[in-house]
Amino acid sequence: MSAHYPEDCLYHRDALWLQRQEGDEALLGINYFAQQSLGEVVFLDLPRVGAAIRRDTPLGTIESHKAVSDMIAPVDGSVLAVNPRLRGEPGLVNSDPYGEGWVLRIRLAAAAETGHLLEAGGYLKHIGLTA
Amino acid sequence: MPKHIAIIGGGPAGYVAASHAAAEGASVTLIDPHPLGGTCLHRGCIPTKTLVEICNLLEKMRRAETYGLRLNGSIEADWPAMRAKAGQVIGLLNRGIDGLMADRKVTHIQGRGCIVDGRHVEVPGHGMVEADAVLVCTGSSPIRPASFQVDGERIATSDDLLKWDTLPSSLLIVGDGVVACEFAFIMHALGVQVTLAAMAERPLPFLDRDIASVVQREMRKLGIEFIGRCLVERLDATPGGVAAYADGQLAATAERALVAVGRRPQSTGLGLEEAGVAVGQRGEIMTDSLMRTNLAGLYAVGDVNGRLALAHAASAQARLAVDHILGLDPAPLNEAAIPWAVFTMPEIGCVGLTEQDAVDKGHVVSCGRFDLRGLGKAQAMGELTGLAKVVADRVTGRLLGVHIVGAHASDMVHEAAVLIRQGATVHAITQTVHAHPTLSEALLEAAEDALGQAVHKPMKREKTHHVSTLP
Repeated sequence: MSAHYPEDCLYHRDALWLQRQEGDEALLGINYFAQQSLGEVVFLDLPRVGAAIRRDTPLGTIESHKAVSDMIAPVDGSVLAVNPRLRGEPGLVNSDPYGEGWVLRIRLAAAAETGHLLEAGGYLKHIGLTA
Repeated sequence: MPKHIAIIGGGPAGYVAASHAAAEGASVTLIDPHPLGGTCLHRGCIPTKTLVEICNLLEKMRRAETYGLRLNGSIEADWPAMRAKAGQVIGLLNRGIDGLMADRKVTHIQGRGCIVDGRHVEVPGHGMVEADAVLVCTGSSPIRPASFQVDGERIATSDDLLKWDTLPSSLLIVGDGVVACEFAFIMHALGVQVTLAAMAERPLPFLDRDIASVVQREMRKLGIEFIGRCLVERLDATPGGVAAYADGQLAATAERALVAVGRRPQSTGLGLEEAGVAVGQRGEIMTDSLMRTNLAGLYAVGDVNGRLALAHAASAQARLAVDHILGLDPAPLNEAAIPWAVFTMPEIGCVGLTEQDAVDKGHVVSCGRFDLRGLGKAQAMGELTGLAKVVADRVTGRLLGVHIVGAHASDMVHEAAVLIRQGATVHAITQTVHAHPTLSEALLEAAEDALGQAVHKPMKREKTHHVSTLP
């Protein structure tokens, strides 16, 4: 199971992973468990470049054949880029959730905290997959 | 001696008043220079719904492969043929109204009525009509702001658009209301690049926020651009098309523009001022809850009284006014229980209070929601987009509002309209068995959600947000 939860990512309790990049930048995406629960993703309604995102509040929605769910921001920050391929190929979120299916590149807010985010092991516990 | 009622205007207020009055034994004179049916039939509800239906079919055909169907050959939207189809529907319904009027021996004078007093209408070329009461049912017309160069071709209202011979490659729609949003989806389906520029922050700002959000998401999904908080001050025809200005700056351009900034009661040229009829700032004829004006015998019904700009509200007001004239002692309409239907893609049906309205009125609310895609019927139909929302009073359980967006939402809303009119609680829905598989199950699930847990929704981890205090 843990292969589905890369060690170099941090996990919000809701559905997004965060991977630190150079400086104060980070990538966000949908974690394995969330994309699997949603099933085939058909549309992502995402913020525009420059928009602010706020920890624990919805930054957009993700739509699959089964459900429409809010995507909850894991941290405070601002949007630097939106994965342009998701418009035409939303299924990348399912097929490669930590790679080609990344969702947003953000700049972390100066005071952004990441202490509340879980490491892979902690997230597995959170979803009840390990003791 | 039967009562004689004179009616000016033959739309959904006027012809319904005529039909109902005649059926109740009154003698009726209906005055309208145009074919009967009004804006609704000739320039509004009916032609636009014909177009929406065609566009729904078109979109479904474009998805044919997802149903396991292979189309051999391309699908092409033929605008003149679509207009002809709408014309056919209009013609058929118009003949139906004429038939109804003949059946009830209603006299139709094809002329313009001018009010003399609450008992007399002058019709130039036809003489004076004397009656026991007069109903003004002259409807409304699209607002044409003076700073918009409306020419009917490049810059048009909805009346003009339906007469266009060709479609533009791009269309700027000024407005955020029902007409603006319906045409946005129609034109997009027909291959027109659509941009909306509107004062409000989101489309359909008067609707429940969750419902409007679904519509806005569909717009984004399709690539219909919505520029919110944009007060268009000027709309100019330019050599290349049209240009809209807001805050003194160019806000948007397109090949053509549709001005859909609302409708104004059609109350000019009726002799109202001379007769001393009270008219409000928007041109609406002032009425009481029984549709009476300040002039004895004179009633104003439908869009012209500015109360609710809805065809079905006009018809309901018409029956009410007629019943009052005939001494049948009708109860005033419960306006809060009148449903709304908006034919975006997908469509909307709602009745009662939005969540925000309910909170503003002091209710502690419990809201239930259910995505239509959770239903077997929606999956079978391939119509996934949609949401049913129930707004209930958390203390009494009373059903305050129901808001649905999705396929057939406008047909589904009437179960809720009956319950809201009756003052029922949300339990009236959950205790009613809903047939399976139907889209109406969405309302059942949303009602269950308002009460705590819908059968087909994931288990709630925290139940404290939701009603447990209901009886």
